[in-house]
Amino acid sequence: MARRETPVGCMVPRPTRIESLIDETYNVRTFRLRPVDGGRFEHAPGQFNMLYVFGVGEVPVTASSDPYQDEYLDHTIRAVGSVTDVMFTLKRGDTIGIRGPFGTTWPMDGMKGKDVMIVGGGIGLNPLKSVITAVAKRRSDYGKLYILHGARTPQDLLFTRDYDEWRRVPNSESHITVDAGDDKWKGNVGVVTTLFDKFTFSAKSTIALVCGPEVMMYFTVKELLKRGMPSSNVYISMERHMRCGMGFCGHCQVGPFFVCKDGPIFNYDAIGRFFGVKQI
Amino acid sequence: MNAYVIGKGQLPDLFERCRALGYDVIAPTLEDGVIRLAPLGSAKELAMNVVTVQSPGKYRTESSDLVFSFTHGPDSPKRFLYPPQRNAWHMAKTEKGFEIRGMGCKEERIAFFGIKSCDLASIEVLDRTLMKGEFKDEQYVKMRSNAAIVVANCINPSGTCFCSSMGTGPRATHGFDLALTELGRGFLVEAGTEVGEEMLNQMSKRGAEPSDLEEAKSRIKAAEARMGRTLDTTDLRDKLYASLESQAFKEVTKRCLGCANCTSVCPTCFCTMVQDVPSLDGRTSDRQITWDSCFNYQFAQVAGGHFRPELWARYRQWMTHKFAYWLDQFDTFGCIGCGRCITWCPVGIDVIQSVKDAQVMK
Repeated sequence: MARRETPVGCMVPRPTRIESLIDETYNVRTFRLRPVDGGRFEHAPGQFNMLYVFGVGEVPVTASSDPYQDEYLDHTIRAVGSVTDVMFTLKRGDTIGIRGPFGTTWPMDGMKGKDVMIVGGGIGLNPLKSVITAVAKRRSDYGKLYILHGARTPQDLLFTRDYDEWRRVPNSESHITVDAGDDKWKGNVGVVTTLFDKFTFSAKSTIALVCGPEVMMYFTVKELLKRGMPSSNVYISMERHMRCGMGFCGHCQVGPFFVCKDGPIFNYDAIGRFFGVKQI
Repeated sequence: MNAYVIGKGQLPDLFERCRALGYDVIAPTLEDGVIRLAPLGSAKELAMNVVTVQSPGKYRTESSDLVFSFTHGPDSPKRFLYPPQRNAWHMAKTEKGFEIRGMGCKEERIAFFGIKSCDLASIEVLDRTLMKGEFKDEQYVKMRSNAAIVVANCINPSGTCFCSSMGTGPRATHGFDLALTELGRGFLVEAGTEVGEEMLNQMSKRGAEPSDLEEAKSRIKAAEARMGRTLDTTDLRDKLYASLESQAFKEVTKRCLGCANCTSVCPTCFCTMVQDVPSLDGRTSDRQITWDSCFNYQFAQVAGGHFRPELWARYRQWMTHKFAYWLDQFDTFGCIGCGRCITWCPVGIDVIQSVKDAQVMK
């Protein structure tokens, strides 16, 4: 995977100011961050940052903002643990620390000239949003764009305010599904893999980028391979509890890989052997 | 490499000589019947004329005619180069947010005196893990680059030792400043570096005769033959990759307590917990790095999920990491054959048996 140099001083969080807060869903919020020092951010789609709340701790999160600007970073977060719970009490103007970026990137160069399929399960759409933005901006570099998103309920669908814009991206199609609909829901009901019957794609010339809960990724990859996609066309973003980001704390290991530095983005050819091994 | 012979009674002099050169000398000392490593204030505290008797789950020391030929206790150089608890930085709350008020990096000049060749090899493994990759652990680099090493070649392995299987002993071949081998009369002392020569500078000594070298060689050869255990490492990585689903992991965890003793005494286990410890008044916070263990329940837990909730999976992670994953990660085994994990396991689980079982029990 493509890897970018992580700046020296990667141990110490850099203060950033919360410029704005946007509620994406009832429990997901986007934090737009600008460096307090007035500097810029280096970031590539798929890489993650360690977000630091003073006195509480850090969480690894991938940015969702436009990768072709370096003035701010958007981090889209669901309140699920001790650090993110505190983050949700922060206000505009408060300070958050950032270490990073760490890890590998989605294959932005490697998929040039190919069709691109985004498959995001739940909050797993977050690390893929910057890819959608990048592909839309450099439209002629890539073939057809497929956006697939599944969520538990209509209320859990992520980035709904961006859907109109995504639909206007030339040569693209979006498909959405929920595990359980409600009275108003008229769309597809079922897990994300049920969407593969809704459209056709060229398995050989499409690069699939998949992120979501591990079980969702497992069945998505299985379905893609079944439909003839070579495993080397499949990329997944792995979730583990990265604590240091530098391969020292050991918490994020999956088989021989450190998700923090060998990932989080893996080509399925590399990780396939260990993916799906129970409790690896 | 220059080789000399010093008298047995000169061992304390050599120790004091290291101290005189300005090192904090970390050396074996007898504490509660156990060989511990500690910075010693005087040669009087050096463990001498003692040997260890080790077997799965058992450890004791006995007096001996051998002056300095015991094997190790639970401590390893890791404890000093990569301490159990340290602060990475100190942060203070400010009006505008927070600012760094100091890095935790300490710079000390330490010398290891009398560690075994397996432990010397463990330092090499830590080097690959902590300072030869893309990222460097700054604290480790600082401690390591100043450290001097006086190794004691092993002529008396214990019942849980298998360094000769892992290619890490009983004789150290490189990476030391001085290497001692206990002879019938005196110690053979090989100087590996200028620093080593300097340590010997003002000591009375004689050049080693071919007969001294021959005696050392035959004592080390005898030690190899008396290794408590052996492990066949041929294609071990691939064999273990083929054994990830083995029932052996479930079998062994009928006995395993998940206590993490093995990872605590392991000289190469490097996993740490990274957490913030705020002061009571909330004005400052320290980034604390403490030894952690893949056996701990929370190790692979994330908010809203758990990747290794069952103990057998954590045992597999540890064992397969040592003997397989580590090769892919750092191009060396994560095991140096010291046998500590076997000796200090409260229920006496023998990792060598586990490695064998994993390959046999499908």
